[in-house]
Amino acid sequence: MKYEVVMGLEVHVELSTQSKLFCSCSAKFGAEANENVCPACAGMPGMPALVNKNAVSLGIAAGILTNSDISEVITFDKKNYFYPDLPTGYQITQWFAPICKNGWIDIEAVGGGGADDTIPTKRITLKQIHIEEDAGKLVHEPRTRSTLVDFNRTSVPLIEIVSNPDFNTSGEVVAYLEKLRLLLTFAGVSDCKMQEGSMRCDINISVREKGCKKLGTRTEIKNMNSLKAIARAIEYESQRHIDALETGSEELVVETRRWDDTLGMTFAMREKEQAEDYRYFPNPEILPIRIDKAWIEDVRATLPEPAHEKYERLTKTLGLPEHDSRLISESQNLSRIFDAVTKIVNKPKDVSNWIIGELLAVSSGAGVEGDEIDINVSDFAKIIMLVDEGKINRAVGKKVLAQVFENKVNPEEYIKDNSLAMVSDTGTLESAIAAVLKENDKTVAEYKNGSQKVFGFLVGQIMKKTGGKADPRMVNELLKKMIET
Amino acid sequence: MSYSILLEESIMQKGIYATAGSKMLANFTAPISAAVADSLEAGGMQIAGRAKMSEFGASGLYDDSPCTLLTEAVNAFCSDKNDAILCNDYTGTIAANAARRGLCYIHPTYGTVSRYGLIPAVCSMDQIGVLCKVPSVGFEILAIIAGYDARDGAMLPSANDGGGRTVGFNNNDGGDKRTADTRRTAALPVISVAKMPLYAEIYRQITQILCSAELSGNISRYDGIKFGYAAKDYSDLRELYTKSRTEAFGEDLKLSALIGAMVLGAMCYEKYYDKAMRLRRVIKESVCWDGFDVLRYIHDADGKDAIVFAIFSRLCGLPSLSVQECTYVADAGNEHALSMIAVADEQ
Ligand SMILES: [Zn+2]
Repeated sequence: MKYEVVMGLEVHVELSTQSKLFCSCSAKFGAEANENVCPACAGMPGMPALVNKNAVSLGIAAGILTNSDISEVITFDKKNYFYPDLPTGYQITQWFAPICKNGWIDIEAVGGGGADDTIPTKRITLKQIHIEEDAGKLVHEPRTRSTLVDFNRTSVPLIEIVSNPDFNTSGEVVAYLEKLRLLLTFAGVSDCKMQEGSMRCDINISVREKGCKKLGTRTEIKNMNSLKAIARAIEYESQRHIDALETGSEELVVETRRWDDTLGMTFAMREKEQAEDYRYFPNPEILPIRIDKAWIEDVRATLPEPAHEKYERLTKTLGLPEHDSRLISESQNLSRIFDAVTKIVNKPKDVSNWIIGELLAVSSGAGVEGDEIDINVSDFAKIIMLVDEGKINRAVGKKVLAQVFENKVNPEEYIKDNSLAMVSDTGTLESAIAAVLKENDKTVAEYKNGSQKVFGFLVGQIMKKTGGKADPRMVNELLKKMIET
Repeated sequence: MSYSILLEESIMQKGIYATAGSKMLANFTAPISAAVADSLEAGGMQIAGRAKMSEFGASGLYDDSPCTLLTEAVNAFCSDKNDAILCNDYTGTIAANAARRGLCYIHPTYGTVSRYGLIPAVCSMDQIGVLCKVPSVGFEILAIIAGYDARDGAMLPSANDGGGRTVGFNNNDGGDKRTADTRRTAALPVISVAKMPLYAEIYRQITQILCSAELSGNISRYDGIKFGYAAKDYSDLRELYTKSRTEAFGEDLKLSALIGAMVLGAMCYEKYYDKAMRLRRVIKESVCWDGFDVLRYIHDADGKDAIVFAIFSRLCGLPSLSVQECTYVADAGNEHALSMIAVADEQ
């Protein structure tokens, strides 16, 4: 290909704080319209802005996760513009002294195809990360042809992660966003739910001839909130640039564009929505905040093991299969359960099998996602140990796990109360087998005539007779012996 | 002693109108009570009502227009109905006019009186002070309203904390509570007599630039939509904004919005706003309190120059006392020195 696409990203991520950035209102998503609003975030005068310290801590966390330099002193500034979703007429942001600078993230370079098994990585460098407040939401009512404002989102803390123009393909952009989402959700910085708007991005895109040093004319696609749409928008927009360069069909201008997902096209935004003079100036209401080493270390101590490091540890050190490792390492909750149970049982492979095979089956049966599973880890560990020690069989173990998950029973008591302990007494098993053989003389004859597959049926009958409690290994051995005689 | 005190219309009392002297807020009822209103009540003072003010206290910023609040004060004090008025004199106009009319104005150190519940005008200079007849009464009232308030994020920490302000965080973290206190010494303060500064005119220009800039930002919330004045006839959003603001704001506010937008605009930021900020820093850093506690500037006979040191104290965030003959300025947190001089003068 003759052309090279060059892209930079501005990713907005809502921080997972309890309250808003400058007042005590709840920052939770999904409340009734204008439920989480006070005079301060409604823009009424006389309520000085008070910084949410936790938002700054999460900003520091984002800096640590992205290998950024964290500023010693940060300040907040006012960005002025009129829009009905902005109750004060200015947005408080960090224009002059952002919290983080010069970070980077390594992504898996999609389609790179490296030698051996190694996946080549590409380093995306970050210009800065700054903290700012979100604006409200406009709700258009087509029936009454009116627009309503919901201030719930007003002043919810955001970070904007600004990358350098380091991307060349839509695959890289998607890989980067997925990596960011993984890092930030895992550390509890944000829930990064694109469909709820807690992660959205603007894409700066330009196209130049390969080998050319100078960047081409840049357009910006604003407010993208789905990975699928992002990939499509990039393909469309870069092709539009290439067509313009090749055929001169249109003249490219620096502008902001909007993606229409239904039509699969980008459109220039109205003149008024284009670059404005935002008249930034320092906000004297908020004094400079000093971030000392101790604060950074406090934040670092609260961060969980990053997902990619956990993945490495599970696959390389513990030797777990890649699929299982990915499932566990990408969910902070499953990771937590894995670590806690492994600490007790000390059999990582077993624990991983129990989580992937049994726990997820039980929970999804109850309609609970991996991230929401709430299970007593010592009870879970107990079940694994009882199976391991041959006290109960695996099928019973799964049954008990379901009880622990749904009714929070004590596993040992439950096993005792329901007489679920494994039957491994030879006499009991022999008489059960004898009875089954007698009842199924036809099947036995089939087996003797060479039909191996009926063996399983007979095992099933024996298990049934023992209430599912028989030791399956012993049943196999004894049945084989008894059927042949 | 319990004094009868008026609050200017930008200091909020829950459920009572708070207009900031503007048609824009003529129908605005305060959703909260200002910290100073609560302090006065807790301190046994009597809040006797509202005092009319010029629109957002901006009169005198660009010209020598009459000072609404002073007319109110003269009426209130002469009839002995009231003892003091609390107001936010960020321009120095009230202080200068008070001196000319034989009254007195106490401007406290920036960040020692909570601005919670004060309709903001110029955040880097907003400071509630006391306009009164007798300085000693003013200092008594100041002692009641001053003090740390966690709801104002830019307050001064205690003086023995090595200087520097501490950021107040919101209740998520419960930032440390500090009390501002003033240095107390038994000895009479040493006074140094100041001359008219060479660049007095520049003080005024810096104030105009900074005040316009911050005012333009703080009044942009008044858009005719959520509260305050709304124009009746409009065809679209932009017209609603434009008409509401055109009809409700007076000349000084319009001038502030225009000048503010200009000095903050990308074309002029460095030439005006940034330069004014740098000069403000130079002026702040040029003050040195070696060998004296209080600066005294003696006004000319007509008192027209009384504004100069009032502006100086606001630009630097320093406490000052304006009386008929002179303006006194002290170091940050040293209101005590000013009050000692005032009391000595009274006796
Ligand atoms: Zn709020």
